[in-house]
Amino acid sequence: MGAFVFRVFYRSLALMIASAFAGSVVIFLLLRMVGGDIATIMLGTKATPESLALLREAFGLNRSWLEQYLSWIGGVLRGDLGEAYTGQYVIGTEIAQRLEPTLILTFGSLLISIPIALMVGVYSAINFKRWRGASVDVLAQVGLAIPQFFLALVFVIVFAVRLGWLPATGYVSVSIDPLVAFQSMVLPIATLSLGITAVFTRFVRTSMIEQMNEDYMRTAKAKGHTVRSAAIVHGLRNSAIPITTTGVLQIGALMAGSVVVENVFGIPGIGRLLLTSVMTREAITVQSLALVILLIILAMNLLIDLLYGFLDPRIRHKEGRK
Amino acid sequence: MKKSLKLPGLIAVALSAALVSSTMAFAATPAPGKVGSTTLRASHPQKPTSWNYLQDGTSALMVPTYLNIMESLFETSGTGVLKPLLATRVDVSKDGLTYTITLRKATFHDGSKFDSADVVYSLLKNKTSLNGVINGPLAPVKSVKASGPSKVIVTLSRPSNAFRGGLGKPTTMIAPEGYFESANVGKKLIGTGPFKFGAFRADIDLELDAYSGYWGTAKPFFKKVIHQFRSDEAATISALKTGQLDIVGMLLGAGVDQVKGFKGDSKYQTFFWPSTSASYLFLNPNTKILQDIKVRQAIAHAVDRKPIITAAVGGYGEPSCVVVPTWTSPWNSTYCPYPYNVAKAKALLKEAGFENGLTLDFPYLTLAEFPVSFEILVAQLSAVGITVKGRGMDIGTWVKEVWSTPTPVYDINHITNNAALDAYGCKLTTPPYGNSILCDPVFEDFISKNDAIVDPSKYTAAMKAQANYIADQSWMIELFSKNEPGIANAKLTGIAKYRTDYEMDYRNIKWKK
Repeated sequence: MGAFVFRVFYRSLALMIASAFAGSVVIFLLLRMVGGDIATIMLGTKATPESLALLREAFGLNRSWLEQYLSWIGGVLRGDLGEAYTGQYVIGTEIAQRLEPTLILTFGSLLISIPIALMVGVYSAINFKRWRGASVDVLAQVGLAIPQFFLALVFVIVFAVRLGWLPATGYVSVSIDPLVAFQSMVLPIATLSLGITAVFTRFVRTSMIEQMNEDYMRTAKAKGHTVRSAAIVHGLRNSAIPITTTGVLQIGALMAGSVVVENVFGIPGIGRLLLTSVMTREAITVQSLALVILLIILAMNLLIDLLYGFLDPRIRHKEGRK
Repeated sequence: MKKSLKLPGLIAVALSAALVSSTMAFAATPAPGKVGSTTLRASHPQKPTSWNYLQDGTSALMVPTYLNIMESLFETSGTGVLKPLLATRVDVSKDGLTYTITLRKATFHDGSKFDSADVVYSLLKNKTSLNGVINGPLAPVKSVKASGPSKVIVTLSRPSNAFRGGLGKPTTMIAPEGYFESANVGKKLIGTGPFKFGAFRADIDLELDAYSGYWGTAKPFFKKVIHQFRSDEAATISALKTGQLDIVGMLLGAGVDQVKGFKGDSKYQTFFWPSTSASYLFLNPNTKILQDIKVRQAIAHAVDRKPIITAAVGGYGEPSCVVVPTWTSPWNSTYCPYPYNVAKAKALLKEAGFENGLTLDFPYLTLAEFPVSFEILVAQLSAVGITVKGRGMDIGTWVKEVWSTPTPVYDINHITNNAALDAYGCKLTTPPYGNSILCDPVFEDFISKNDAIVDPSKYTAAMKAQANYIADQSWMIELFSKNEPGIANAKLTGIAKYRTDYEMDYRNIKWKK
């Protein structure tokens, strides 16, 4: 087991560093290709070529792209993400403060989605030839089709405006008031969970239907298992790897979804910061945020590589022999 | 015996029960904020990109800070009269070149005393600002000198109405001497207003804390104002309905359509105040086919303003043909040389040699009223034989490609901005940009002569002639002056009318008794 962890960890870490570097270059270049910069946004219709040039010089935007990239990535390697061009905030501190609500939102959604999807997906697979199974599939399709911003607004109108059960917007840190923090996250998590639950449900269903036709399932049933218990005890275990992979891959989708959800619910997370920074061309903040999100996703991928070994002994043994 | 698992069902029941019980528990939680609270929760759709007003030209910076935190020498009343603020009076020499300004006693939020040195420092700094609203009126300032601690003498190189008007605008905002060289610049504003710059969360909110050392006799009612930046107006309206907000100002997009829903609801008050912005089409003078005045007149005749106002700004606007904010300038008028007339537009195009129609490139902003107005304009222009090819742009791209270049590549463009008639001259900047690419010698003559007219009635008449000349030429085709809608808790009083499009005045707001 030790050799497996060692090999996988270092190989994935090397890949992670290479991916982060490549990602940082792509993000940097894409931002420069968007058009406009923070100077154009700040000066707006009062911009003159002279004032734009002065502001660009003040922000260091008149330097070559290479110089700008090296200056930024140099800071990143020293652990200093720098300050927003306008001096309004220190980027590292700002991101650290905003990670809390975004991580609660993202992992909260994941924690809600996975058990529901497992239960509903398995149920649907067991009953896939009956209307009950098909109806689950139809509901999952509907869940996939509903846009998040629409769902968010419907939730707000029903649960906040009409019923008054939950706040419409805002966020209070867990460290200040855990109950209010929980209260403020119910609707955002529910919004973000729906689509992801639908994705998982369909995936679990498909994966389980495949497993149901395997020989070992017939054996399990012959040994006295019901269809349901055989599916849960044996089928689910064999579906664990693809389901886990899908789960981790969805973290990226959840992070992307958090941009919409945080904006609608007024949550001060990194998704909202990312959106406003893109809109105002606060390039250095966008680059840093995108890099942090990329690192979170890569770290999750590293974790999943390690998890494979625990979930499937064949992978562990194969890696150990290398 | 069959092995059966009941666990999934049990988990589902437990989860559902937990969700329902927790949600029911929240039902008992009172809505945040109550009438009588000393905290005011307000919202505005735009977030400031910076706190450095020498660099930042966006109104989002001014909205929460001007008059609340930062004070100018005077403020402009709703009727355009200068009211004392940090200055108690101004005496202007007969030739209009020397302004003697008398100052009041006040203390900055950092505890330093306000005096003439701060005014000299601030005016000279403001003159170097990259923000046109601030530096523009200061252009004719030749010198600023202190005459004792409570008097300042400003000498102009020529008489200037823009400078006189600027005394009551952010042009003369006063910061303590040395502020722009301090570590506070860009992070925290220090002024003399009734509120201090409090906690700031980037793109979330700014807290304004009541300042106990304020010079005014009338202290603000609210101890704290939380000015939130919320771009999603539908969500903002929901927050207002749930009592999480007390006042929502200057709605721009989706919220505009919802304002009507609050009319007649006793829990809320709605307000529709004029902005100082004009919304107009600008035709590129570099486009050859548009250099024929008949084509421009045809475009002006093709525009039906009412449907645009109804669809693009929810009906909250006044149609106008002169590029002057409808309510705020005495030189505004109902003058309309080319009213909506499809037959006339077609005839003019035919006379210009375009009986088979023509095609125009129209880059438009993908925010606020612009996408909707674009769609309507496409239909209206199409009705007279003009095909429009649109290019949607976000503000950054639009400023870069359309506005801040001396040789922009487009034919027609829709702009809403703070319409000062002197901002359109090509002599103001070298090279020209924005509307200044229009280099009309007659118009330039108006600009240079009008600003120096000292007599107010003659000045008004001259400005009216200038505005009418713009309408005649049709390079700029005014569509409407926008009303800025807002919604507030019905129990609030003292909400001031906007005099500019860069203020939310919290000074006199309080709960009704």
